[in-house]
Parts: sequence; structure tokens; C-alpha cells
Amino acid sequence: MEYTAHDESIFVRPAEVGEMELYHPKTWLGKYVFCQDAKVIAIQYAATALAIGLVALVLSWFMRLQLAWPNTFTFIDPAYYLQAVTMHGMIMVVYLLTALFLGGFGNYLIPLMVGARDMVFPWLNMISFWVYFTAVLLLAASFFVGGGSTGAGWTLYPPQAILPGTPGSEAGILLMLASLAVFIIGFTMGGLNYVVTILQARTRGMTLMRMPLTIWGIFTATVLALFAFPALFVSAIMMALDVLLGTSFFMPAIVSMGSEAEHVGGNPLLFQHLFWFFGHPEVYIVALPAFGIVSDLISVHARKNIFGYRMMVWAIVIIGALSFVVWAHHMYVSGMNPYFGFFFATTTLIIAIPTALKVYNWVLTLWQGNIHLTTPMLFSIAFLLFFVNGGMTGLFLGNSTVSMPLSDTLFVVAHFHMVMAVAPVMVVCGAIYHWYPKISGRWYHEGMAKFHFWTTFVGSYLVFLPMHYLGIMGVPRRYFEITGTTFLPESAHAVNASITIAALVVGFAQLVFLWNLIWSAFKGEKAPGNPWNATTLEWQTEHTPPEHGNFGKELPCVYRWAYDYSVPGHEEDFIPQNVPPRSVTA
Amino acid sequence: MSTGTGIFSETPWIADTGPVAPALSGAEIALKSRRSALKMLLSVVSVFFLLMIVAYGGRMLYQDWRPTPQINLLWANTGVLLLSSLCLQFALMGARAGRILWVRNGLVAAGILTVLFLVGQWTAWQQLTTLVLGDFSNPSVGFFFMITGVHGLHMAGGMLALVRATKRAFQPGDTHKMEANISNCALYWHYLLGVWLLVFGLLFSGNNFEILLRICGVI
Repeated sequence: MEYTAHDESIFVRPAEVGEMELYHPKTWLGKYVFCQDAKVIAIQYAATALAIGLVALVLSWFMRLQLAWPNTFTFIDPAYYLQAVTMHGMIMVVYLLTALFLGGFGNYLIPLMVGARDMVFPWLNMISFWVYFTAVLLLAASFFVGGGSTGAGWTLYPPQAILPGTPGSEAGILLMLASLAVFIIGFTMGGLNYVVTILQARTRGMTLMRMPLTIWGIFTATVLALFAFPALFVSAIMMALDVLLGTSFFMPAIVSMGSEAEHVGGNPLLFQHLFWFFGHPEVYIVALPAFGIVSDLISVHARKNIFGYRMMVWAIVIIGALSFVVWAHHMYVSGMNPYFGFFFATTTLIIAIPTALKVYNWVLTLWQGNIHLTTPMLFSIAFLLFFVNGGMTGLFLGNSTVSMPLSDTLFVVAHFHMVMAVAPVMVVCGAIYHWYPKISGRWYHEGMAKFHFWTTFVGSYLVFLPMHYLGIMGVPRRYFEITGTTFLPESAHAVNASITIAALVVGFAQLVFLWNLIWSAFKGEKAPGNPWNATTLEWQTEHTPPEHGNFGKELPCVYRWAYDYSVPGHEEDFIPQNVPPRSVTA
Repeated sequence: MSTGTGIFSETPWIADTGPVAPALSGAEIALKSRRSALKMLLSVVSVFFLLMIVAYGGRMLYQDWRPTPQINLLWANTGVLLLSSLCLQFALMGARAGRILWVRNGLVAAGILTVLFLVGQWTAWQQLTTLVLGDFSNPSVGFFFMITGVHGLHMAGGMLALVRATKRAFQPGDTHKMEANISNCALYWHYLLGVWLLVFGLLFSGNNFEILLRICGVI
């Protein structure tokens, strides 16, 4: 088969290509620091997110060391333990995963995949990153202030979050709230950019229903985030005012440390509603980009068109919409009208339908595909396993009667790490390996990548599968130590120790991963422009890595969807999106 | 195009067999993008204010609710904000009709009135602080400061765009080219006026407890 990649003469009238004026940096600072190229901003986002994520990883090691061998490590006291729990959770959910999926992958992939030169507001995009960076600095600063960072748990529930006795109840909590508010401002700038770029800067022929599922996932997650983050913003402002001005939004009349606090009549449940109105969509803000990306990874590496594309699109949109009406399933133990409980349990279980539909479609895409067990594909398959596992335990917890006894146990920790931590991280890793040759122009080291995969895959199972059983046995979460309890057999402690060993090994594998990325950027073998024979536009650029402006003199024109793999009657097993029909010959 | 062009009817797995629709030109993309981004931003801001109003309504249900003392200055501030919004509409009409004086006067007047509104709100804050003797523990007082503060910050942020549009209006040029910027400013002002009328009418202009309960679906 022969392709004529830009055969404009047949169908397309020339000189009607939408163009935008590009920013041309004049200084080193303008090119590498305050750069307005979305691809550079993407790398800045990713590097910052991975750096602060590394801090959260180390915090998880401290937690695990304490749980496995209580009181062996003298620097871990109860306050420090709670601070580690809190900061690990918040960093991983907001500052790593959200920033990496939307700021990192969003910035790199949106303009390239929709056929645009750049984001529509490049300056705002640059500012968005630096605001995010400031938020990370504020968060990191809380480690060093008097009293340390907040130890209120990542949900920051009042009244305990701001009462004396909780670690970091002075400067720590304020820095956390300030950091979150700044993060949300930065995200809103970026989010508006992503949405408007997708809606208005797509190249010719790139209809909404021809967009790769990666873009659908990022788009829907961005819309979700734009509408969910205001709830966190409002609650952060209200809690900050409770601390600073002595208002009583969330603080009831309360006796604290033997004396009456100045607050009267605040409502702590109001915070929980606001927090989870953000918190549950947040799960999907992380999950939906992962759903989109993994769909593309599976299709490319199984050399098959995605099964049920339109269903996949609508499933993403429906999951996004439903995620706004399930928030109170996080509050079953807080107490609520039983009818509300019934409503939220029902909506929660309904989400399983479009989600299961996606899982079936991924499996059916793999079915009889020409599966290449590349590193991205291995991570994609691992995602499926972790996601199905975590999804099944979600059915337990979505049901209010089953959820109540399990709510404060390690079962919940195991569930959400399976579904919301490990599963998306599998996609993050798979996606980085998949697009690494395009981003860096070089191949990653295959041996290190395979070591990274198998250690992470097996190790993560060894961490989180046994944790479910500990939860069912009644091992509580958030506890500094569980020694001296009569209801737990010695084997529970042995399992805890084995989980810690597995966690340390998995953590080490992530260091190998990061080293691979750095080493390969300089020493890796040169990669061709389209090493996976993929169809989407980012692989059709003139240069690898793509230059500022992404495409050559003319923007590509799209004639087909992103999934023309193994099309019957064609020699090669892929047809890029920008290949006109008459240029495709058998 | 592939069979069917709507988002529901399109069959994306069928490749094009005819000409591909032309794209927008670069200038059109820029103009449409700004308008779309503004509309998206206003949707996000709507969620933000809605959540605060719902939180306020939810808190009102408790028996110990004590409403905010009435501040009559807010009526005057509302009038000033209404006038500033009208002035921007006047400037927009001028831009459309090609009358530069209308544009300049409208923009300058809108700016002055907005500053006046912000000063008025600040004065209302001082009055309330005096009335409650600096005790902010009453939730309705806390809500008053938060909601008016956030609204004021949005107005102040809008001033940046308004100053830019005004500077542009005092440079020589075709008024039609100024229309997009002025139209965006006007939309923002009208929107924030709407938010203020809602917030003021519902929460701070008297006892509208029953109306709020109806909105929150309680009665």
C-alpha cells in the first residue's frame, strides 16, 4: 500500500487552513522557563508532578515501615504518621495524578491529536503551570513550618482539622488550604484552555466523533474538574475563614483541650458535602483520562480498531455526568436520611453499567487482535486487571449496608488504591512508554522497562490484595499502630510486614523507571517518527520530537477516525488519519 | 464527510469520500475562543456561587439561625452596579453603531461606577463590622463577608479587562474592531450584576427564608 500523506489536490481546497500566530521566544528564559509551547509546558507539569509524587512515595514508605515494625523507627511518631498519611493522599490524588493527566498529558496531546498548532491561549497556559508550581511550593513549605504539615487526613474534615491536638492545626492546615486554592486557580486557567482548544481549534475533518478516545477522556475530565473544583475552593475559603477570622461555617460550639472554643453553630457536615461534591468527581477526573488513553494504547498495540467507539464516547460522558450525583456514598457513616442513602447507593451502582461496558469493549478489542506484548500493552493489560479488581470491591462499598462495617478498615484503602491509584498509574506508565519515543526522539531501555513493569505489577498485587483480607478481619485504617489488640491474630501482623516489603520493592522499581526516563533521553537509541505504526496525528508530524507549531507548513487534514488498524484489503495494518481515501491503495 | 454529521448520527468508522469542510480562519478562531472561554468561565463561576447559596440555604435550616443585620447601603450599591452595566451596554451599542464617543464615555463611566460599587461594598463591610462588634461567629455574617468578598474580587478582576478595553478605545481605530472586547466586558458585567441581584435579593435584602427553602426543595 502507498500513502500520499498530504494529497491536498483531490479533496481539499487550499489556503483555508485555520492558523494561529505562534509565540516565538527570544531569550533562554522564554524558551525553557516561561515557555508558551504546550509541549514544553506539558514536560514542566509532568516533571513537577513526578517530583512531588516522589515525596509522596517516600511518605508511604514511612507509613508502611511503622505499620510493619511498630516503634522501630524513632523518627515516626503518631503525629508524623498522620502527617505522612495526609500528605501522601493529597499529593497523590491532586498534585500528582490530576496534574499529570490534565496538565501533563493534556498539554502534550491535545494540540497534537486534534491537529492544532498549540493551545488557543498559550500565555494563559504558561501562567497556569507557574500557578500550579506555586501551589506545589506552598504545599511543600508546610513540611517546614512550626507544627509541620497538616495531619487531618486527606479529607481535611473539620472540626478536628483545625483544632489544637491535630498535627499541623496552625500553619500546616492554612498552607494546605492556600495551596489547594492556588492549585484550583491555576487549573481553571489550564482547563479553560483545554476545553476551548478541543472545541474550537480542531483541524479540518477532525469532527468530535473522530477524536481519539484519549482526547475524549481528557476533555470530559477537564469539564468535570472545572465544575467540581469550585466546591473544594469554597470549602477551602470557608475553613480558612473559620481559622483566621473566627467565623463558624463548619465549626460547632465545641470544648477543645478543656476550654470552650469561640465558635458557635457551624456545621461540619456541610464541609463533608462540599468536599465530596468535589471528591467523587475527582476519582473520575483521574480515571477518565486513563480510560481514554488505555483505549488508544490497546487499539494500537493489538492492531485492531477499538470495539464500540461510539459506546465508549458516550460511556465516558455518562460516567462523568453520573459522578456528580453519587458523592454522599462517601458519607454513609456520617449519617443521613435513609432515602438519601438509597438514592446515593442506587446512583453509585448505576455507574457500574457504563464502566462495565468499557471493560467489555477493551476486552473485545483485545479479542483476536494481533496483540504485541510491548511495555505499553503490558501496562494496559495490568490496568484492566487492577481496574476490574478495584471495581468489584467498589460494588461492596457502594452498597450502604456493606459499606458501614468496612468503612474504617483497610478494605477501603485496598479498594481505592486498586481502582484509583494503581490502575491509573498503570496507564500513566504505559502512556509514558508509548509516547516516550515521540517526546524524546529516543527509545527507552527495554530491559529496565520490563523490570519496572513486572516488579510494579506483581508487587502492587502483593501490596493491595492481602490488604482486603486485613480489612475484612477488621484492621482499622489511619491507626498509628495495631499491636496489643486481641481480635487480630499474629498472621495479620505478618501480612502487614509482607505488604511493607512489597511496597518498598515497588517503590524501588519506580526509581528505576525514573532513571530509565532520564538515561534514555541521552543514551537511548534514536526512535523513528512513528515507531508503533499508529494512526493518530501526533505520530504524523514532520519532526520527532515535534517542533513548536507541531506540524509543518500546513496543518494536516483528517479523513478518517483514529482506529483504522488491520483494515481488510490493505497491505499495511494501519491507515493514518490524514491519509485521503484515494491515496490508500491495496 | 462521513455518513451523518451530527454527534449522534455520525459513523466515524467510515472515511470521507467528499470534500472536507473548511476550517475557521485564525482570526475567527481567536475571537470565538475568547467568547467560548468567557462563557465556560462564567459557567464555572456559576457553580461557585450556587454552592455558596446552597450552603447558606442549608445552614439557614438550623434553629439557631440569626440573619445578618440589614444594611441599607446595599440598595444604593445595587443601583450603582446596575448603572455601570447599562453604561457598558451603551458602549457596546456605540461600537456597533461606529460612534466612538459613546464607546469612550460608556467605558469610562462603567469603570468609575464599578470603582464606586467596590468602595460602597467596602463601606458596607465596615458598617456590618461595627454592627456585630467584630464578632464574626454568627454564620450569616460569615456568609455575608465571604459572598460579597468573592463577588467584589470578581468585579475587581473584570476591571483589568475593562481598563484594557478603555485604553484601546482611546487609541485611533475602527470601533467595529473594538466590539468583541467590549461585548465580552459587557457580558461579564451583566452576568455579575445578575449574580449580585440573586445574592442580594435572596440573602441580604430581608428575610427571604421561605423562598430559599423552596429553592432548596425543603418545602
